[in-house]
Amino acid sequence: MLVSYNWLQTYFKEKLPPAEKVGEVLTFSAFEIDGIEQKNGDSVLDVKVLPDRAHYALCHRGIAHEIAAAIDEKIVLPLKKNPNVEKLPPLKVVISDPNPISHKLEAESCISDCRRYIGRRVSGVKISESPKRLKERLESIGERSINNVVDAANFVMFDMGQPLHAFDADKVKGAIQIRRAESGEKISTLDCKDIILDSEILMIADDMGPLAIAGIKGGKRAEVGPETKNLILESANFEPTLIRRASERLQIRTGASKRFENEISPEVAGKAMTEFSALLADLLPEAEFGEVKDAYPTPARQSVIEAKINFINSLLDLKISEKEIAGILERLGIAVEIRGGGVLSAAIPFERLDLKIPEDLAEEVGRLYGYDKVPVAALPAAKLETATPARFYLENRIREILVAGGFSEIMASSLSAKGELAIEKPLASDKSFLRTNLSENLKTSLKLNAANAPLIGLPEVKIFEIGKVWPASASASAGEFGGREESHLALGYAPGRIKNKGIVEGAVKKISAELGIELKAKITDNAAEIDLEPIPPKISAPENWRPKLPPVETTKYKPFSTYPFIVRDVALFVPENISDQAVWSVIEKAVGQSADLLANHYLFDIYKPKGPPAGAAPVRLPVRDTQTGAPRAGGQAGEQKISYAFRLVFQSAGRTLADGEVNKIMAEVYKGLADRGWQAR
Amino acid sequence: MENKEKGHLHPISRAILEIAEIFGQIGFEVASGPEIEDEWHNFDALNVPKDHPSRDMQDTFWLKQPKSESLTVNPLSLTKERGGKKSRQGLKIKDERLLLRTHTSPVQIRYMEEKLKAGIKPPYRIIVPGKVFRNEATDATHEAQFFQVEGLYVDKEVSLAHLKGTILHFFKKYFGPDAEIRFRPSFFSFVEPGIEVDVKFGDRWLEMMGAGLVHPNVFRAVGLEGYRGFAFGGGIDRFLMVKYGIPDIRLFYSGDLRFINQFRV
Repeated sequence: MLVSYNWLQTYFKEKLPPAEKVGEVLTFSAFEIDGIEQKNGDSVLDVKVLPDRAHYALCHRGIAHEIAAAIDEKIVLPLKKNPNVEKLPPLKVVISDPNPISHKLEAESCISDCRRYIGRRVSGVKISESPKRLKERLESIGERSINNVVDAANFVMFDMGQPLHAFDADKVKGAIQIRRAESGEKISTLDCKDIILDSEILMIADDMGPLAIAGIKGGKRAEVGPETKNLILESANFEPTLIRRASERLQIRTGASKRFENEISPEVAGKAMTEFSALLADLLPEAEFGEVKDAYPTPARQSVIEAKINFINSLLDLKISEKEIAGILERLGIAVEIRGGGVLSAAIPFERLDLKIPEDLAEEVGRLYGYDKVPVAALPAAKLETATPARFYLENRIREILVAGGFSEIMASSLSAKGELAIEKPLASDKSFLRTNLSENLKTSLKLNAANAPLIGLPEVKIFEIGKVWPASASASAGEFGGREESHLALGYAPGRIKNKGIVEGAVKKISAELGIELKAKITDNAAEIDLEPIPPKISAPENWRPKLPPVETTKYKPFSTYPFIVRDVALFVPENISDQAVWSVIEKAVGQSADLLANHYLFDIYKPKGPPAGAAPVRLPVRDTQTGAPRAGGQAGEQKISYAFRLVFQSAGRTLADGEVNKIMAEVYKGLADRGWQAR
Repeated sequence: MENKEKGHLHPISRAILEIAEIFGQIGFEVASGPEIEDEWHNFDALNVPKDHPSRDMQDTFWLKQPKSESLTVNPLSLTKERGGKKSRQGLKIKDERLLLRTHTSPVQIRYMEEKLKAGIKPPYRIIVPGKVFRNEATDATHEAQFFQVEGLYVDKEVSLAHLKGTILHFFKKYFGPDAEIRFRPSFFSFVEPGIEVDVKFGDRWLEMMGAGLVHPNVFRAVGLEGYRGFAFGGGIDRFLMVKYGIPDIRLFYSGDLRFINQFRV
């Protein structure tokens, strides 16, 4: 919620600390601040009001109270002059509650559709632009100014948290009726949307039909416009669940619906009508105000919480004195009475619907006393032999076996394009079901990684996943999901530079052997899928089993380029006494300045002929001095040779490399090798 | 460099093992539960009432109505459970509406229910690592699926100081001995007081966990009286992103070895 710093200041006699400081104070006492924006000489704080405090804090006064409590200052309510009550035509308000709502949430909560409806006639108004001060207030928090009456209603809502409404009284026929809509009744809203209503929606209506969707949106018919002379003001309280459901169904979210669905104390409606009237009287000195018509069938009762001082302290592990605890609660407007036996009785302000149990008081004390003062305590000693659940043990044993066997673990999406269980509102059409197997994703991953194998330096791709799937069960009849959630293992193989056979089968056998349990695998196209559900009952973790965790070498993740890469292999014979590192340093030097394009490199083959095999010519390279063409010392016939094969992978971090570019680098490499008298094959 | 022989553990699996190890040192056991949940375990029992704005805090993937009675979910992997027919049958979900669990917190409920059914009273000390789901648009910091670790401690005398001590123990072991934490007020319906835990990295404080003392309504839901507890939960993906400087949460689920093979074990 956007909160204006200048607006908050109107509640304090003393100058508030700077906006950043106010933000910090709120962060540690009550609310997270999502940002502070400087705007026309004001600072606007984006205060994250969570649902527990939304009863009272979706308004400037609520936030001002929090700041006051945190910095131990007093709130000063601006003095406003209440208008005199004139004799105006009587206003009739009829609340017709249907059967009380069946889903009774809490015994003590009021479950009428309309808990309170306060109406008031105002005559002799003149609709005009709002004064600059009022406009600025609303604009500072991103609200559009409409006219003096509408702006006044909005101002009081953002100030006190009570949604308000004004009707053009001359367009209202008969009594104001608060009732459920009849099926098929229609309303045209202020923003000119035609909506068909039904009995799940509460209406404000007159003899002619709907005037407004209660708590959500006003209607066009009795809209306050330039010609309006007389008003009916509304300050009401509606059942939160009813408003929430209606606003969800109609997909209309307004400042009013948001506040009502979070529940507001009906007591606030009374105060808000007083403030609304006073502000209008100030804006419209000529206007005459009728009597306040207040339909309030079951007035709210003030709640009292009894809590032991010791209890509050024990939750916080602090020793705050009785007096100090009382002082903190009083800063929140809670009237505290200390009873005998270390018990306090706290009379909760009406708007604090969030305070219900002693634990709630402990939170209020803790956050204002400061959570930084809560000490650090260790848990009491416990038996340290913790048992490991069979499933956790099984899955991690399999991981251990597979990783040791050269398999890498992937995790893929649980959502897929087809399946047995459908998502009600999927994010995308290819994510509208729960997966029925792991193999499908695994095969996609095999393809991706096989294509990147030279870049990553993989001679072959071996991967696996362990995760939940939701397949259909054999016994399911059509159209019904009769399956279950199963834990599966899938593992797969894609050949790279090396092509092996039987890798998948071998891995399954290996796991079976290590676990001592025959795994049943479904093998298709180099991938195996195994249902792990039958296994856990057959195994158990050894006492005090701990996974073997070698230290991680990784300290920081390095982003990888997504541009295409180019592979070049270099193979050459050199005298036996030359090491691969010596050869590599020559290549590296030749690559020189282009080293940043060398994404990976590795020696992938060493070949050493064991003397001339019988009946065959010795494998030997014709190595010649490139300068003179004469055989060099290293090229003496009969000397033992060794062959190294290096792979160089080129890739740019920011663009697609051209073949020509890499050819140029390679030309340097061949030249560098030739300079040493080594000829690439 | 050419990778030879050994494969790579997914960083999340590795993190789960490390977390289990760290909490194992102070007597916490691993527990788990199903990824498909019923509304009661995911929300109602955790003091998130129906038709309440606090449900909006977690965008939920609801499932189209399956025949819920016929859906069997994984048996709980409770620590003392060894074999037996019961675990093979699994749990039947009775509640009408099913969803993908939005947090690992329903396992708090399932664990306590199972323990009490077996006649085992607190103290309880569990951690619950597992996959959770949120129906929100994905970007570099949001994924439809991610991993959480939940912690639950139940005993006669439990305070915020125990919570602070436990979380500090974890972060010092996980991020390094210099790790500092701080508490801020927050709201999660299943705890009271509710706490947000920040961890300091360099000179920056980052939000890392939600926590608090178990709300009495949660104990009421499972029928446990005379106990207190604390609970905490954090995103494992987020821990890793901070620890290793990983810029995009989607990399975890890309199936891409250019990512996974950077985590060498």
